[in-house]
Amino acid sequence: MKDASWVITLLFGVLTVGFVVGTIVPRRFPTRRALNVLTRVSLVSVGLGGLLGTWLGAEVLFFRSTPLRLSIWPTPSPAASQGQVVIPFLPLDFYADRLTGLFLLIVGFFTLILAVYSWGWLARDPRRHWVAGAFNFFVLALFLTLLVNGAFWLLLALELVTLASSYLMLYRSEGTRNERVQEAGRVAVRTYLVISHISIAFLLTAFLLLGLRAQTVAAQAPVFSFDTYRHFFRTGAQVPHTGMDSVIFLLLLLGLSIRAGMIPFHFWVPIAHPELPTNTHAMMSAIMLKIPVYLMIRLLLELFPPQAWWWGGILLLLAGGTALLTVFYALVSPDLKRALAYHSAENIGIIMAGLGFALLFQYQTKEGVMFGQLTQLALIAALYHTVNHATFKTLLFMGTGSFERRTGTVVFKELGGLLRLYPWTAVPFLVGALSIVGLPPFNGFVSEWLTLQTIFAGGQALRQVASPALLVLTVVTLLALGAAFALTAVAFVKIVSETLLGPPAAVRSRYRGSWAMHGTMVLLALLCVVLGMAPFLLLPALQRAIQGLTETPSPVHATSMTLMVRLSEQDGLAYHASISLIPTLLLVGTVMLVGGIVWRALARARVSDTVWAGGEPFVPRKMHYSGTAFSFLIWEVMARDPEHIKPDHPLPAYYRVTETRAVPELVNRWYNRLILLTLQTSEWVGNFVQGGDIRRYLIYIFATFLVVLLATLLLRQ
Amino acid sequence: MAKYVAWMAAFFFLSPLTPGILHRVKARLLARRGPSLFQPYRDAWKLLHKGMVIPESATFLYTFGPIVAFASYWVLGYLHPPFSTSAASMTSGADVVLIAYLLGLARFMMALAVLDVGAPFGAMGSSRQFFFQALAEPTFFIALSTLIARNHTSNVHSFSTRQEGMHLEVGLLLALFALVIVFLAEGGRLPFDSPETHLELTMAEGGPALSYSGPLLLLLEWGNAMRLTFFLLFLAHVSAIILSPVPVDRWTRLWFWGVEGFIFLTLVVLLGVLEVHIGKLRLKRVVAPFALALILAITSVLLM
Repeated sequence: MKDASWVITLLFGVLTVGFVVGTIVPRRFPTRRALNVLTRVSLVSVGLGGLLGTWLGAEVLFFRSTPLRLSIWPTPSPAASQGQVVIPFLPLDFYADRLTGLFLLIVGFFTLILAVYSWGWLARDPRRHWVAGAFNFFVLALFLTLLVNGAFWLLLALELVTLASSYLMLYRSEGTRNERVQEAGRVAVRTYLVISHISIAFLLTAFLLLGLRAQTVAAQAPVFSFDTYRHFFRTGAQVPHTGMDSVIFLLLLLGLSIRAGMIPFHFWVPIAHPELPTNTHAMMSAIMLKIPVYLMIRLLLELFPPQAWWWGGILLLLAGGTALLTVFYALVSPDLKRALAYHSAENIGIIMAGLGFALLFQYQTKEGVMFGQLTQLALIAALYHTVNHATFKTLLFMGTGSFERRTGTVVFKELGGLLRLYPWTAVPFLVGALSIVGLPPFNGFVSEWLTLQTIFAGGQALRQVASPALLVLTVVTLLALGAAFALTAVAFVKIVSETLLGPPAAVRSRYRGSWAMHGTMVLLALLCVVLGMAPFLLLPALQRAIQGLTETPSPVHATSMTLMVRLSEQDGLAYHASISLIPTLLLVGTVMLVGGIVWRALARARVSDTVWAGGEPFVPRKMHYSGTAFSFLIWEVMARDPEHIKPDHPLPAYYRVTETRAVPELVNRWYNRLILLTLQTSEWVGNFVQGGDIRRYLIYIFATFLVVLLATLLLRQ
Repeated sequence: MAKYVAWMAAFFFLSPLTPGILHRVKARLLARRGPSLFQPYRDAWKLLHKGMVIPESATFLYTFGPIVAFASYWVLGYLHPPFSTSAASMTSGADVVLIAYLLGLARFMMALAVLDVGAPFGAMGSSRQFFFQALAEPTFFIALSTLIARNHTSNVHSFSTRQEGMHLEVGLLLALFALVIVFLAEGGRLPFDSPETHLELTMAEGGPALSYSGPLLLLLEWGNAMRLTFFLLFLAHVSAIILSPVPVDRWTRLWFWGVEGFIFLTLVVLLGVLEVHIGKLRLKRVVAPFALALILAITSVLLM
């Protein structure tokens, strides 16, 4: 206990120091050399913070039998607080069970990786100290979100995350005089702040109702402590289900899905995320979006377990829709950062599909042991994808950052041919792309397979409880995910071909990157291969992480050769499936063997010639088949003439794909209408209701007085 | 182990016979004599001795594409149980979902290869393949889920044959029809893609092949033969499972494989008949057969 408090104190201390060093100290010492040193110090402190977080996570996950508890400001005992005013939510205590441990590990490890990467990436940036300092603050807020054990402090930590990321969002617009870029920055910050606060409002209402609900059972319980919820809802049976529970669930779901960027709230992700400097954009898209995943497992599975079948169903529908819709818009995005941000939302959809099934199965656990096992399977699939997405998305963003440093742009039209120019960055980027598409030797395949197995086995189990609605839901999810997987492949052929292949981009910077950037990218690319070929290394960690949620033995087994899902007949469902290294090794072996033969043949006799294009001379700049043309058959379904789309404000109403075609962003248009309506209403309120005329205000006072009087009279009788 | 090695070798060496037979059947239906059954081997031998012309703009991805495609099409053979085993191993890892992912891997690497060169023919063909895939993949997974629900496993090696007293499995039949449509599209056959012509307006599969010559083209052609063989074998295996009884001893097992072989040959002939009698659909029209396949697949899930 003692050593853990020491680690936590040091963790927050180091990050605070890094924040101060990066953002406040430079005002006193604005020389170039001083800034270099301060940036370095700040990056070391964030790296140290990442290391400490990794250590803490590993300790909690692997070496601790009971959850870690730490009271910073303890609850005053009833005897001591006699006659004093007790503020009910203020006690701050930290709580970390194994699930927290896993997420601490993820956040810590990738913070460390990105800190090392930033060493090279920030080296020549004019605002390097500022980015490094804000990075500290951001990571601090993330750790706080994971560790707190009460609703009040959770909301505060989420606010801090919002504050840190909107602070970083000023990066692009502050460094330029270009008015359009500045406007985009303003829209991003505004959108992000508004949407976060709407999310917080939903969560706050949900927690208030949840606390009141807990108090109906035990009057003295502190309203906001997670321990209260843990105690009352975990045991489930004693607390009868009421309509209020469904309202609480919907509020929680709304609040969290806004934060996770699920439809119809996905619009803020591609608007807000690309404004961040690319190193922290990786942190935000690959890691921060996982916080709602953690909270969803914590709140909806542990503290407030599902009490109706449609709770999981609604999450499944949202997840399927998210995966499908966002991958489509990723396909028409004009720049790399925006496309990758959309893909983050898509992967959240895949993770949430796992969670949706977990909710569904958790509700059904009364039907038998098999549903307990299926809950485990669904959770393992979701968590495996969480880890995988963190890995390959961080890798892809690091690649994007490196390309951005050299070419000065992330717009697809200005990129190209980078595979020849920068193979050390391009090949890891390619590995990241293969992983996100989910192709066999890489890690995306394992988690997609686990998700599909959840659907297959789950469909069979739901068939046994004979509920047609659930069966249809399963089919719909399968349909959406299948289409999303296929479209991801198209989207990444487009992304890879427009950045890595084709005629070379203009190189604006002589900076070729440093060992820190190449090294971390190669490391993560290797990690993608390892997680894809050796799932037995990660699986025990995931199984430990969810041990607290279900008691049943895990249906997923791994050996060094195979990964197997097995439910046995006596548990109510006979089902088994496996993937093994045999086909993978056959594949890799054949590629190496045939590749070697072809390479030797080419080394002996290689005939080069111009590209054959049907007899015409091939002009690369003019005739090279672009990624936009490649994906034409897909996006064309939604394309309109841009002249026919009304220019809309403030969110982008459409993406211009070619000169003459544009794809409308339907959800944004809908939101624009809503925003304009809000503006009009507030204008009316400003001009008419609050007109500034003293007589009008006197009427208001009189009217209020009358209403109160009438109400009192009526209520008395 | 030895059985698996023997099966993978047989799959590799005998696969080109399938297009050989298919060409013969089609020629006969058109009242021509047709090429020898072994013509694909002769073509292969010819290609093997030709040189490779590499486009100037190509990187390593250009040579990588056909190699990966070839390897993944060969590994498809692993997803069919070898002839003499009946008691399948649970941990063999022959998951039906792998079919979609291996095809996806081949398609993805070929797309990168042709976009690496940049010539429009290959890229256009590849783009059409991805269009088909986007329409086919959901149907494929749903049809597979019927197969999986029936067998209580997604491991092909453990698919069980018909039990005594089981009634005819209508759901499975519908799923089989959906799979036929999916495989026609994924295999680049009529009415989705015409495998015989090299006209840029009609081709999907032929496009990428235009960028290659010599041994690399050989890898593509041999790979396509293996893919076609696998598709027909898989369909034959599933049909045999529906039709034939449990293989318990040597003779019933032999009967089972005999039935499967017969269905396989019938399917080759049927494919020939189909390709002689129908034409290629216009590109946007292919949505209709895919919609049919989707409806079949969903109905099959609900009927199972």
